[in-house]
Amino acid sequence: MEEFGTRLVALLPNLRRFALSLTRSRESADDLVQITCEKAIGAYTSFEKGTRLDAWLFRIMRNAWIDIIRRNKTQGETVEIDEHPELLVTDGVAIVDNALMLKAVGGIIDSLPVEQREVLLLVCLEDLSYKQAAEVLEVPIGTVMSRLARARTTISKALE
Amino acid sequence: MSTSGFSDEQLMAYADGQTDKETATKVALASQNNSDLLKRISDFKRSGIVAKQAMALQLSEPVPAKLEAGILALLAAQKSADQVEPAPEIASKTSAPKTASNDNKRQTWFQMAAAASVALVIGALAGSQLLPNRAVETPTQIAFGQLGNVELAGLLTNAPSGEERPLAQGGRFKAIATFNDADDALCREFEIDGATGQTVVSVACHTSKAWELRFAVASSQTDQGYAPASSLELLENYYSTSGASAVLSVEAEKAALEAVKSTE
Repeated sequence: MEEFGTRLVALLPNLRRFALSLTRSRESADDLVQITCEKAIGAYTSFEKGTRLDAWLFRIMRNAWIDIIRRNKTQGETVEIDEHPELLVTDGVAIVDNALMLKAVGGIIDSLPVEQREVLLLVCLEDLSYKQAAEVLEVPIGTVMSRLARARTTISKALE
Repeated sequence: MSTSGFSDEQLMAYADGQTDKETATKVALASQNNSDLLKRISDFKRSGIVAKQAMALQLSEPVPAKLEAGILALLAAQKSADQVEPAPEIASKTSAPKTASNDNKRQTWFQMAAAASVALVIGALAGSQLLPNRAVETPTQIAFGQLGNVELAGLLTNAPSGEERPLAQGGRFKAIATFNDADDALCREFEIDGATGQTVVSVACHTSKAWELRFAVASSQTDQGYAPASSLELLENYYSTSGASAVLSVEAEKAALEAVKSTE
């Protein structure tokens, strides 16, 4: 329990950013982290040692979020966005400032369908393998790859 | 798909180092003199890096202290609950391993940890009998002073664990769990929510035909945050040092409370 607790607390920043990505609200994200941790702590004996704790926690969080959405029917609308040239180009000149560019890409990521956003976060930000992401999301690995490729193609197009 | 025969997924997996050896070799060979293919691979590498940086910039924030404190309290509560789980030699004493009331107890601790801000901790109060007109010389009187001790004694004898009962002067009583102490006295953990928002989590044991207060943690439900882990550790320490048995099953609790009734 001691070790589990230490590792859980160390992963709170990661859990919170996944929660922020899912909920897009600080208040809801904090609630989701709290719920996730309650569930994880209550079931910590079922965590398989030697596997990635973050992936296990992400899976709990995602399922908890799906439950909340089902219960509240508050799922935000998901809009397919192919490209956002307007976010990257000002008066026809590509933004070259790195911080501005990252902020613009953040805007593009925000506009992605949640299915693409979550896989992007798990693989690119949290460094999960495609297989691990597939386990978290409970979808085939091929689905993870196609969602991720679409998300990254959208980003690449905007960067051109 | 592309004109070069490789799908986006294949090239992305190659860029991410997540493709199988055979495909990796094919892509490497095909891209040697194919600038279009090289650009597509390069784009995937770049989009991965940029996405990581953008998300880190956008989402990485310090974890709010209140949230972290809440999680620490949950961990402390679980640690306490784990230690209240029957140790083999103790379990044999009551033959009451994990029970419904035990589950209820754990859940209540979670709720308490998440909702209460401990304002004051009172140590062992052995000898403070819950008899009429005997005020407890501690802040527990905030809770106990609000109800006649006769009423509390009656609730301790009659309320099954998990049940809530309103108090005559406002607030509520909730029986949490029942167990035996090292001397085989019947003990009950219970909560009292005072009308003022004060909550006291206590343990009382039945000896010499009366209920005696053995332990209490006073807390207040304010917006000041979550209970510090140390408060729950005190409850945990009480259980670990008092030789408490496993939590009694619903049936065992019912029989034990009937036995108490017959002595009163």
